[in-house]
Amino acid sequence: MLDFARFPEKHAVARARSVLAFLAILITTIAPAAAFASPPTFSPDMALASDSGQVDVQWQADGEVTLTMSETSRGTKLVYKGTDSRIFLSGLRDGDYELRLAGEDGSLSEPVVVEVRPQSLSRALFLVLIGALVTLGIVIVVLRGARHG
Amino acid sequence: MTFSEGFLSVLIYGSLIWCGLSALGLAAMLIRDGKSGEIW
Amino acid sequence: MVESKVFLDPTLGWILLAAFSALWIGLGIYWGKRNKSFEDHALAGRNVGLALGTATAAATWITSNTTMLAPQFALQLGVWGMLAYSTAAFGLILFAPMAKRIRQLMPHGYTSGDFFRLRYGRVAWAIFLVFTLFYSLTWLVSMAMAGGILLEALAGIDYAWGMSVILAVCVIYTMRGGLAAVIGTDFIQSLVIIVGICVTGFAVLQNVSVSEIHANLTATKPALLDVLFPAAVMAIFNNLLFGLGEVFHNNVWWSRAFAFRDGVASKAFLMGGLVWLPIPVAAGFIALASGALGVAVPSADMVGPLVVAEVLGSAGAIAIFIVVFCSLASSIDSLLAATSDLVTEDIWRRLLHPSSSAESLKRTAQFVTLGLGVLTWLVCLPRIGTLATVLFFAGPLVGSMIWPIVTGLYWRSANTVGAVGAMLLGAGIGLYCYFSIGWYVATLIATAVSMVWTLGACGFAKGRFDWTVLKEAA
Repeated sequence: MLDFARFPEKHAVARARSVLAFLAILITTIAPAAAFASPPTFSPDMALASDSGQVDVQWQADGEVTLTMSETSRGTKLVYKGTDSRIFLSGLRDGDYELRLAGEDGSLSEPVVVEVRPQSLSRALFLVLIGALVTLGIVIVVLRGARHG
Repeated sequence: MTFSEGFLSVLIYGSLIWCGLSALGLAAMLIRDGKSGEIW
Repeated sequence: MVESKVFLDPTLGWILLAAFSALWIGLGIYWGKRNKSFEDHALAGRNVGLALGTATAAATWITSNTTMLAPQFALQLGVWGMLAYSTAAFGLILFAPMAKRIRQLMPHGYTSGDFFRLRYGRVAWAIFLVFTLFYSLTWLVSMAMAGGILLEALAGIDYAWGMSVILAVCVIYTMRGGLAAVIGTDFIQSLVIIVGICVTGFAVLQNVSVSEIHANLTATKPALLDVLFPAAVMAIFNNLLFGLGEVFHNNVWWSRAFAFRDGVASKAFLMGGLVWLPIPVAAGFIALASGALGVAVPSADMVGPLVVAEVLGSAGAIAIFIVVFCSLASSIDSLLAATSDLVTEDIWRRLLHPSSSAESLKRTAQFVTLGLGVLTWLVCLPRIGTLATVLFFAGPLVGSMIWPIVTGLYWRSANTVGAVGAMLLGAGIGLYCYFSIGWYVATLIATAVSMVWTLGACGFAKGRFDWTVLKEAA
């Protein structure tokens, strides 16, 4: 069985990693202590629009971060707290989602807004209709053939 | 319109039980084939 | 991939890898002793029984994608994602009556290439060979790469080593044991996989109830429960037709139709499909539990191992390692065997050396298996990430072959113009749509176009095919 949903984003990840490594070196050599730690930032390679309700959130930060998400006209939710630099969100409905990172020292990132605009439902249902007809045709040819053959 | 909790339960438990039964079925079929000397 | 998280101690990973490798190679050598001729080697003596037949159909169709991608699908596309994945079982179920017909029409056949050559002539045969070799080789490469990547992520085994060991083990036992070794090991692998998935699934449910999963999804990932989630709904038939195209054309399945004993083929494919049907849901639902269990998922493709390791600790990591290794081996071995038989029968014997003896053909098939393994290894070694995406192009190619195959098996009016046009037009327009619209329409449109062309060509056809042509003696 084939896999057709896995589109590698190696380049983005590699770029993010090299930036991260660079920052890490910079920080350990130049900045003497966490007191001067820069606020967390979202990766510039992050896609900010989705037609499938999925967002691959990536960031750079020193130490632990808290990621919150607020949806238009709804409250703010805690999405993640920890030391990773990446999280995958899915199942988001139509809407604008504002994401914000907070560092250990309370420093805040610039927010980013992710726009989720699902694909057209009528087009999806039209594809289902064509698919059903083609499949039905195949089933009929095979089953009729099997009965008469 | 959303998939209900009941539907999700039936789907998940149904699949797991189905998997268990098919494993037993495969083993039973091999024993049956072995007894009649028809494995291959 | 999450390189930073390793689920299993590398030493334990190597021990498991070595133990299973030794088991498969030992069994391959043991079962290989039965094979005297090319027919024994390629088709296991045409006498495989129901239990092994059912298990091999299911096991070959369970790839590392089924066990690893089903959770990813569930996380991305929700309940429909799992259900859409399950529809791939219809490929096997619908192939059941076709397998019976294939055996009736071609009692001496070896490969799906034999069918295209005898039914539609050399031009259609050539197109088929290009399409099927593209599909088979990219599948093989993607599987071997996935093997290396997964072993590295699960147990910290270096990519190049993990990939090389999996490939080498499969090449050795397939070379020595032929289809018999593939089918025999498939039986053990299918049981290990199914039991592994079942135990893991119930263990996850010990830690979180369906009601908690449902409540968490409603609160945080509502679209995954949506019955009319567009991204998921529109992929359903594209996925189903992709599966039909894969099974209907590929020699992996045709060689099994020829290898199964009389009266067994049709039942074995039907039951194999039924065994496979629940697996995407049973293996995939654990991804839906990630939120309720508080598991943060850095990237969608590792959600399965993350949830299992969180719930079951190192026992879960061992289980997932074994299940993944078995699902990789059960597909790589089948592809190696079926593709080497296709090259041996269709290219070596039919095109180059028509007078080869049965013994020399068996040796040729063994060397071709080795050659395929080396080729795959060389392509996989540089670990080019974008290579896996090439596999997606195969959708329109395999979809465009569905109609020429089903009408060619059942309709005397099916003809060369229909088959050649359906494959070229279907694949061409499907690939165009892949780039201009999206992957989710490519296979669907390819199949629809080839259907219209095939039906038109059959409608206008004057000649009627003589079925006895397919009974060509070996």
